[in-house]
Amino acid sequence: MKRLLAIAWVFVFAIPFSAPAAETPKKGGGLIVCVGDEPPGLDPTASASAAIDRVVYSNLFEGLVKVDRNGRLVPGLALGWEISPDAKTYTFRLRQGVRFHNGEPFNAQVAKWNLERGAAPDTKNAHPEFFRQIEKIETPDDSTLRLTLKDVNALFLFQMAEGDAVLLPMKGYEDTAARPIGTGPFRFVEWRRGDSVVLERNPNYWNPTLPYLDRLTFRFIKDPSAQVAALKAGDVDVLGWILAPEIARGIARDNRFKILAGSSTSEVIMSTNNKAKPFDNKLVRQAMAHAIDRKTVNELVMLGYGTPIGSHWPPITPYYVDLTKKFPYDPKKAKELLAQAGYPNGFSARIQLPAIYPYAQKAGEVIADMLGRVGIKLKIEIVEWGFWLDRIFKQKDFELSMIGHAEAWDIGIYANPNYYFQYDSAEFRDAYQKALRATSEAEKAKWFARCQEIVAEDAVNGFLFVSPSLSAMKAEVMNWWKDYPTIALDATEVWWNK
Amino acid sequence: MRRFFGNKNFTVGFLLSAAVVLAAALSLLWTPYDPNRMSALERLEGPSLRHPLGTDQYGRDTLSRILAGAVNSILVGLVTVAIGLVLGVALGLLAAYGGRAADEAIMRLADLLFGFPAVLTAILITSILGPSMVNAMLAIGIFYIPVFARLTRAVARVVWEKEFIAAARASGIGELAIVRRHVLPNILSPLLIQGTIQFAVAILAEAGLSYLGLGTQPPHASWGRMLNEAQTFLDTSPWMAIFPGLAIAWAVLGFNLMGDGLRDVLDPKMARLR
Repeated sequence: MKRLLAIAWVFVFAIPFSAPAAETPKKGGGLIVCVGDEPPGLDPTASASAAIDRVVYSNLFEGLVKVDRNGRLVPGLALGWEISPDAKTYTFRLRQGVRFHNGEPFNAQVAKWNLERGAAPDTKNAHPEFFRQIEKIETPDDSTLRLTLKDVNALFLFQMAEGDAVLLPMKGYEDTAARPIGTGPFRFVEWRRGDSVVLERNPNYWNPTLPYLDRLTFRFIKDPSAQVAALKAGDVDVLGWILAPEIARGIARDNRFKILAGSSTSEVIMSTNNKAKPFDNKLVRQAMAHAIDRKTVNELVMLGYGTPIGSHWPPITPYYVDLTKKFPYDPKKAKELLAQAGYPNGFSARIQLPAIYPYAQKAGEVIADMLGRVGIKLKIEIVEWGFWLDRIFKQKDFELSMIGHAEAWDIGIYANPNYYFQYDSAEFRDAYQKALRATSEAEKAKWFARCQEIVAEDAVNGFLFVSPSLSAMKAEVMNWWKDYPTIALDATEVWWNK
Repeated sequence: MRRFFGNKNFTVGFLLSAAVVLAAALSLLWTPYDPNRMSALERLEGPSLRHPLGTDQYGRDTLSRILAGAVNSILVGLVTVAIGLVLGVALGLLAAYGGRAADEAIMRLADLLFGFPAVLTAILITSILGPSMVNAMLAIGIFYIPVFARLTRAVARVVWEKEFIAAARASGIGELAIVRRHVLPNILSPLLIQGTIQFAVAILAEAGLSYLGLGTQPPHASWGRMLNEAQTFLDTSPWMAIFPGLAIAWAVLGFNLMGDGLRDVLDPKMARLR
């Protein structure tokens, strides 16, 4: 039965998803995508920088599995996989006939070498634990890869779909940071430092219909207003990632352009120090949860582009449970809870907001106003990023703060009592372990849901909204990813309708 | 009095500055709306009868915030000039009459402080003490000390050579009493002129620091902070930036003109030189 379930799961997740397109895609043309940060190198297996993945993930490099535009797992260099009943052994069937951009063939040996490289003691990989959990790698033939894990890990496949786990060629890998060689739909042409990275169509891509574009360029423009100016002047075709919603609104007025407003995996939370008085009192935290009108927060901070949340889980990630109704906006109830907690007249506290993130400052001002209405007087302090990292994140010396947690699948931070918000719950740790060790799909769904419920019930942090994924582009650019389920600006299926 | 209002600069400057002071005083008693009250339904409204200067991204009334911000600006001007005057004049007098060693020490220290650009000094101080309005005032005030110290020393030395001082000394009055009764009244006009001009500079400096996030902290209204918040809305809601910008220009122009006018009237020699 379990095996059947496992196979069924593979089946569900392995159907290649293609976006509904009203017209058939046209081939040709070049696309210039504007991004804010220039990557420090182009090797995603040697750095944690998100700027690298935005350029290369699924464009230039591929892993065994990929995350698609809807946050689901789809086959990458593995055609499919089978999971043993004890959920410890994964057997991947690999694509045959795939070649790297330099002509080297891809096979099970190459995959094995990559996984061993990630686990090596001197690895530069940002997540060596992804690979060190593998106990045994077997390659019965060129197109079969069998991995046995030390322990069950429900997130293993998602980890294999991260940028850290893309596969490099065995011979041409040394210069990856400067001249990357992968298997993806686009191959590297040149990197003009300080300006752009240019990729071109890989004519030998394993999917002969993809990509549609001939050329894909990433241009680096830091300043948001300069980005908008570049788009309006026609210097770039797409703004891949807009931080300020009001900028999106300004562009939307011009009918030469369109805005895609999707969802990301960045949960914006009012971080609450669960060890600091009076926030160590669950009633106080629940009172604050009742005092926050999430819909209005989203309206005021994100102009309505974000998605309200009730727990630490993005709606576009599998196993999501909607808990936004758990603590509905109810200032009266909030005051009652405060009175129960021994603060009938409220109290004063300090909220420190990181200066580099405008959304955090805006959300802080709005929250201060809302909490003020139930008697919690917040003193706002804007702090530098270095101060935030040191004092709040490292030394845990704070009461309240505001920050977006960008990584997908990051609810595990609540299992660590030493994490900066210092939430210590044996019940949560137990539920999280059970989720990670779940061997069936139903078990995973059950325990990941339980994890979400526990942190919501304990009102660990103020759960506000997930940041929108806002992109702007010329009206003729088709099929760009609307959501941002993983760190990627995948242009494989993008085409020009002109 | 007629002497002052006969001067065009002074009259215009005085009227502009008085309006700012009145606005600040008014806001302490009444503003059209609570300047910090958010209202989701009224956000980003353009100027209208209900909101003459429009609303910001949180639905706060811009007029109310500009009025409340005036208090901030006036307060910063007063406190910083007071710090500069009290400490600067004391140090300046000490430098003028306290002997060579005191003179050297104080003036070299003043040179040192002058060596740093004003805004940089303020950023340094606020980043050490933490961003807040009090610290911003302190930062600007500290920078004013050498400004007033130098001025005091220079004019006090000139006064010291005057005959009436010699007469006072001959009549046997103590030095401190001479300084209090004869020197201070005679150096008042240049200090007044300088103080008015520094007042304008302080308003600008506070706006700058608040714009950078180092001055007044939210949600309190400050013209500089309002400009900062309006920045990304320039395309869609320009009034959010225009009105606080005008307020800053208004106040700075007012106090500067008043300072110029004062100089023309009180220091005719300077006026003729120009």
